Amino acid sequence: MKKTILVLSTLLLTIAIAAGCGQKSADPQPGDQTEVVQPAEQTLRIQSFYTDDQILNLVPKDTEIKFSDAKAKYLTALKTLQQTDDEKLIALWDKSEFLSATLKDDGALTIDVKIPEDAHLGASGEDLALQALLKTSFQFDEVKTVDILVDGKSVDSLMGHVELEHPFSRN
Amino acid sequence: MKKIGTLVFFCLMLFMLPSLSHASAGLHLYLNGVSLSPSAEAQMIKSTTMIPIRVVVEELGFQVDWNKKTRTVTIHNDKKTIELVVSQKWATVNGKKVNLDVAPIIKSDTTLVPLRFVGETMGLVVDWENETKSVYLFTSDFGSEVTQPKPPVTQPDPDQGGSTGTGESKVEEIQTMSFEDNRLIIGVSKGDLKPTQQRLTGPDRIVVDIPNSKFSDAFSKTQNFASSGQAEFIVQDHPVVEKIRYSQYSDNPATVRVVIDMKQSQNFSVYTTKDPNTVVVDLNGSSPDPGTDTGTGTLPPHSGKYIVVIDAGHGAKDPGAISIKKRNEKDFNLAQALKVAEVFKNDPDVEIILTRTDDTFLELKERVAFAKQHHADLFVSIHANSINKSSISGTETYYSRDDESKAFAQVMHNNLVKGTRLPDRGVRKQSLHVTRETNMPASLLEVGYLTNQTDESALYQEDFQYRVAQSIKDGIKQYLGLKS
Repeated sequence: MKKTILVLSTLLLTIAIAAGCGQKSADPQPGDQTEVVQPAEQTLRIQSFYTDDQILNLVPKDTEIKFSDAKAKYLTALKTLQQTDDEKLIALWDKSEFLSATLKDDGALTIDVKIPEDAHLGASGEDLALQALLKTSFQFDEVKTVDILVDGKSVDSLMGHVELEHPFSRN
Repeated sequence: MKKIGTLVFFCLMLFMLPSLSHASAGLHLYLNGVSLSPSAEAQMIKSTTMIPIRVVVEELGFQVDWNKKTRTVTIHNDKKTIELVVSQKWATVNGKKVNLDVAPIIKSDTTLVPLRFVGETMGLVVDWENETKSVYLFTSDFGSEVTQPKPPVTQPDPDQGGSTGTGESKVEEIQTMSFEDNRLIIGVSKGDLKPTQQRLTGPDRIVVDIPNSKFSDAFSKTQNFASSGQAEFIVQDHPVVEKIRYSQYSDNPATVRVVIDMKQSQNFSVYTTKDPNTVVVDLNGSSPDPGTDTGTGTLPPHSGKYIVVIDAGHGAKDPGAISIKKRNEKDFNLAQALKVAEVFKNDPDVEIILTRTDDTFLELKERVAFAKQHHADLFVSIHANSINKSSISGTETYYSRDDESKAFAQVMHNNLVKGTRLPDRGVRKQSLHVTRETNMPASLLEVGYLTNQTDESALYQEDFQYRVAQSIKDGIKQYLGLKS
């Protein structure tokens, strides 16, 4: 019995030390990286989603996003939903604002939006706007879940027809 | 433990009450079923029972101060303070002035105060039984504590007054309250609540206590709670029921009390249902012994009429869409829903129930719960549409569940477009919460586009709304196979 405890505690100690060491050696890395990596602008082709003038279907469209900080990728991608050059399509997020889109290490993307009252859509508009946001986010493989907040708050619905899940998972 | 035992005993006494005492000359006072000393010397003055303040102290256990100079009686416990002045037909409760039917008086050196007023203000239930000239008093913990079976092992808690966190997690929510088909239906968040009931006379009323419950925030917001903490609604033109009152009767343990004020005595039964979760006070059934029938059962089919829930979308903090003339969608939705109810008034076959009748907000899931709790046969949500393209105009109807709702949505839409006389943009299937989560045929009507000039100016016109209301009625009747 005593032996087991001894073995266990030794094991725990070893793990603790290993973890501690790991952390220490990992710490300087991000700092090094920022020095090495130049703030070079990246260009990425992504799909953005809109709807047709029947407000029936989600229509994908290739767009190009540019960003220098990798962290800005998601917010930049979402902002493409706010407008389109294609006259046949409707941008569902044109009057709303994307405040932030932050990805955690575990793949949890949290998107904070501001939806002014005059941006409130009808039933199908809301559903399609939500789908457009989710599809745009989930096209990045590293995004595992998407949690949408309105002005930083976790609410039941964006516009009063479709419920939000906190978070949405990739289906 | 002994206390619980005693309370259970009191509870049994409650059911035996009518046979307890026989009419005699004097008045009888009972506290929690136990007769108070014959020297209580209660008297009737103008059909109000008056008791000496000594009884208030000795028998009811409240603290009483008597100021001889100002002839003021102050009765208080830790929560409430009542001040009464001899010969004055008013009193103050926690500093607030209230009127009295009968003023306190001094009779042969004894100050008498109105029993019902004092008792009820201090949180007692006061019941007058005319035949036996008896007054039954019940303390608030009497009803609720009995029905809250506490495992004696885990409840050594001597701190009775303090709010311990343990009980709070189990508190369920009262979400809706409505009266239809001679039934008071209380929508609750959990199915197996254990309501207790009392039938009181003088005036006739039914008192139902729901232990471990509080009003949901959403429900509270829709209610006009008076400063007394009580809200009520009047049941119009009902032969037996006058009105329904309810309040958070006690916070610890959390208990909601619902009182049905009756025009006459009526047999009733109280039962609970699961999914939808309700507590039902049913005045239809004549239960042989209303004192003991707190059984569970399922809601029987409503007698005769179809129940159709009309849901005015959005409300209060959620304006819905904003029209091109800056008018709110929520206002159109409500006006249109009210007109549907109006055109159905006195309909022999269909009863319309509205999720909201004023500018209040319900979460989507509360709208669904409402429809389920009312055992709706049909559900119709009324909305107006919006898109950032002003040329888009017309009427759309939505559904989510093919099997149950597709045909209903089609019938509703065919009628609706005749009413709106706007472009027909078709019946659409979409995963909307209220049409997907309900369990009866359900459709959501997007009557027209608030972002289109033609639609917008039509939608806010009375004659348009009446025409649409009639078309919704036609659709409902057609789907139900009724003559319109």
